[in-house]
Amino acid sequence: MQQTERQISLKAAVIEAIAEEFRRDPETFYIGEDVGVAEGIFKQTQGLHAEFGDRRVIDTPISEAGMFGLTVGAAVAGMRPVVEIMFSDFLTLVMDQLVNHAAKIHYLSGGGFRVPLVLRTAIGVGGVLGSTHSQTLYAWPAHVPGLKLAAPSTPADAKGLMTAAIRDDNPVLYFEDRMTYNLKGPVPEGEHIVELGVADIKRKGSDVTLIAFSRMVHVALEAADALAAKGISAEVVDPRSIVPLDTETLIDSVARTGRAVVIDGGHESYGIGAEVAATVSEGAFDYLDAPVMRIGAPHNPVPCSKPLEAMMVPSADQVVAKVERMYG
Amino acid sequence: MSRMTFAAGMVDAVVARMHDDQTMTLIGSAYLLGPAAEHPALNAVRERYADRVIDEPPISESAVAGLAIGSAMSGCRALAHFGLAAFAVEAWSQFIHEAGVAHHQSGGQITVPAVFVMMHGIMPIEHSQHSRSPYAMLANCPGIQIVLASTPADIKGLMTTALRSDNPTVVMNHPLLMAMEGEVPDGDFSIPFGQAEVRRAGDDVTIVATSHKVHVALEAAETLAADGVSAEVVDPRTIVPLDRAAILSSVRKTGRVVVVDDSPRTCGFGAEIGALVAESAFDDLKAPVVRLSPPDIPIPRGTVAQTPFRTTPEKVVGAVRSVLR
Amino acid sequence: MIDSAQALAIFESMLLIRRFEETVIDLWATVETEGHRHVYIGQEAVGATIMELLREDDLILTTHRNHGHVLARGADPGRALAEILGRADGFNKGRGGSAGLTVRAAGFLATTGQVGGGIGLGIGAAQAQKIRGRGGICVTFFGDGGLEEGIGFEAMNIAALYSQPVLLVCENNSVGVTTGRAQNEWSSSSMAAETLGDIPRALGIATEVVAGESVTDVHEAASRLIGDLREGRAPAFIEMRTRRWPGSRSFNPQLVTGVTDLDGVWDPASVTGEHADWINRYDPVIGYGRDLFRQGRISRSEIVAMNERVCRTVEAAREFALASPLPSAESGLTGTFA
Repeated sequence: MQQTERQISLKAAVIEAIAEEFRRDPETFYIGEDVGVAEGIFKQTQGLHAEFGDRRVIDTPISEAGMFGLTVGAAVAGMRPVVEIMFSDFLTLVMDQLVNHAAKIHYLSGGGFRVPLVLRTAIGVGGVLGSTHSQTLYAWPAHVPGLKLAAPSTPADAKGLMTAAIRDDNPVLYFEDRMTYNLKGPVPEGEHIVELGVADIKRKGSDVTLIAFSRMVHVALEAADALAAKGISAEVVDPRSIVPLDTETLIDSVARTGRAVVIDGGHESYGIGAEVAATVSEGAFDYLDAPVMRIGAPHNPVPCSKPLEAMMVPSADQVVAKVERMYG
Repeated sequence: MSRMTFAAGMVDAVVARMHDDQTMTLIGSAYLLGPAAEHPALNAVRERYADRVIDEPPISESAVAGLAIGSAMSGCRALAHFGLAAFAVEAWSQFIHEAGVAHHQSGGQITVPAVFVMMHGIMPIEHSQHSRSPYAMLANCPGIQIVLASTPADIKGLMTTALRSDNPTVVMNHPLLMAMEGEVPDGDFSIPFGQAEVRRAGDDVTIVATSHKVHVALEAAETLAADGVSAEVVDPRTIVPLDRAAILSSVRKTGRVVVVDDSPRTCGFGAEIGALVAESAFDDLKAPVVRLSPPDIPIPRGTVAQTPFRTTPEKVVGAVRSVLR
Repeated sequence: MIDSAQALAIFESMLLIRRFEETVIDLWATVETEGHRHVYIGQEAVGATIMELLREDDLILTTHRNHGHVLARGADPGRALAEILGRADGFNKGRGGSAGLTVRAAGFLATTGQVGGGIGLGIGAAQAQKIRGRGGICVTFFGDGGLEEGIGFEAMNIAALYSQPVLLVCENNSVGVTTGRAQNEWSSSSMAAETLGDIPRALGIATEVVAGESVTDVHEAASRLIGDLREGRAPAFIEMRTRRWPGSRSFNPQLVTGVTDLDGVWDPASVTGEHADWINRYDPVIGYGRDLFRQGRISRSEIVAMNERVCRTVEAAREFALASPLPSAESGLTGTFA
């Protein structure tokens, strides 16, 4: 892998991965609402239509179920489509095609069919978009056998995971926190693959493990700085993919530190945080010095209001407070 | 008390509320009992209140949900039966984005007294696309109460509460419960949400089980008792709201936990209970929490192929033994 | 013909909506406010006329583009604007914002930001009206995009099957729009059907296709269909075709046509500039003002007085909204369940 100091945004890194794969493989196309000439509501498809044209970058009506059904059918027919569902909230509108078709076709056909598609969607709270355009609904597909899930936190991971997702022979849901789109970082030029199911230790530490997904990795890193100032050495682990989950790396880290906090931007109850906390509590049971704790969004809808929506996002202060409680 | 089936217990509650609440609409009544069963009182309701009964709506789950939710927002209670939970996923947007958020987002102006009923679990013989227990997904989103009843009396009491509640409620029933018989209180009978029931008291291990798996757990507890292991079986009855106190109080006594339910493992009911217990009963836990769920694989068709997906008393006994080691 | 009292009430309601939306756009330029907002400029004739035809017990579903409906129904402009700004005194306690603004006391049910979601809820509200049996109806407003979602078809089918008293009002504001995507506007009219009214017609639903900028045409069609609904001939569908207001932008509407100058009513020659054609042909406020002025039903001085009255109302609303505090952060953590 060629290393580089080139800094680009997370959004640009995702687009770069898609463009490189589209050049490599003519059996790919991109489909979604306003993804063509308009280049996406967050400019998250910038340049794709200009390069690949109407035939491979396709605008659709506001018909998520229809466009996703199209994608599943094309994938079964051998294409490698990328479909964009504007917000993860709208996964609710493709549930039957996702749960009863995309997830099951490979298994139920006895391996006869593959469904190599990528569903790209935005998560995260910010910018006051309200209860139906702000959710982080990745716990839902995580709960459906047959689907893989990736959630990058850095531009380099974003590129590597998207490349891996497009090349994967299974349906992969790719979650981008829209508040990280302009986050910059070094990204390798040319082919760059981050295998699904491999966690990354974003910061080494010895006293407590902070397990965080997507944008929450940055909250965890901020908390780790604050904890360092208090003499507590925090390790930050980013699973990068939710399914498959790199339980080995997670449990190994917690077994070393003896303490863990899971930070998740989705709702705390019945969420990803519960899954990770339960898994780590079980796997590192004999090594735990304190209970594994969870921080997630409270159990209410995301209000359409700047001060109110701020309460829906876990903060570094909350993480620090939880860790300090462990040392009670 | 009268002896009746689980299905009859549920219909008892629905029939009583249809008589008492002249604004209530009943949608999908054809699915309440299943094709074979007959229930004269339900038939009478269908005839007497024909204007408020839609026996078999079109195959339009999201619009059927809209019908129930819009009616409920207008002050007219509604119950909609979707047949199978695997089909109801078509209506998820209406459930979480309309029913679930309305009260909060309107600043309390709107209430949604609607009940959504569906079957969950492995449908015997049926196709994979019919077998799902997706209640943990809805539990991840705020604003929807979720009922998982296990006995004829409970479904009557919980359904009555659901049909009096000002909040949207999802009721998921397992097919193997429908014909199960039990004693059911006569007349008006309700069970508050968020109150777990200890189905069997014990000291050595806590088995948290829901819906049909309560009976599997009880059978396992019998076997374990013969071996001198005293298992406590806790049935939450509603998973939103969840009676955390009852679960934690049992775990503080036993120090060991097995969770048995029908949702897939990843991000399932067991994950929530495992995380809850691991965090809040840390000092009392003598062994890791074990989750017993169907494997994270689509459920195949046919009883033989489905065998590995069925949680049996033997599997529960095995899981209990593993936490006792 | 619409009687004069009703005609003047509709015109004043349209003017109130116009001045209110101009203020919303101005507030976004002058007060720091996030989030998206969708204004009703160019569609005033539809909301103002239909609300004038409704009874107090009728129920209404609306969309992200709801401001005009809420105002035309007589809801307090101050509390509406406070909600749009996310303030504590807003109708939703600041939780709904522009796209979720709802006023239950005025007959509105939950306002949804989910495209097409309200069409489903509308048939439920109609079911409630049917059960109550007092002749009340439901009006559900949705855009042309609402029919792109599957629930739109499902709900129309159910409404037709069970003869539900619902008036389905499709506000098609994409007529003539060809440059939407190039302007980074939402995609428009991504429907294979040229006339959206053909879709409900296929289900046997009584359907009218109307020029949505004409109060007279809207009134004629809506009053007839609403009368039918009250007598049990249900459901009904109106496609309200309006020309997209040139300032419409998905996230950031711009007042490219300027603050509406009522001189255009009595002095058409005063309308000039790049958007003169839209104003002369499609601006419903100017158009209906000219109708009433020509018919002698309102004088120039009466229009000036009406405008002053409306501007005072909107100015008071603005002051009220800006004086209202933002809600405390903790207040959003309550009230998930009733």
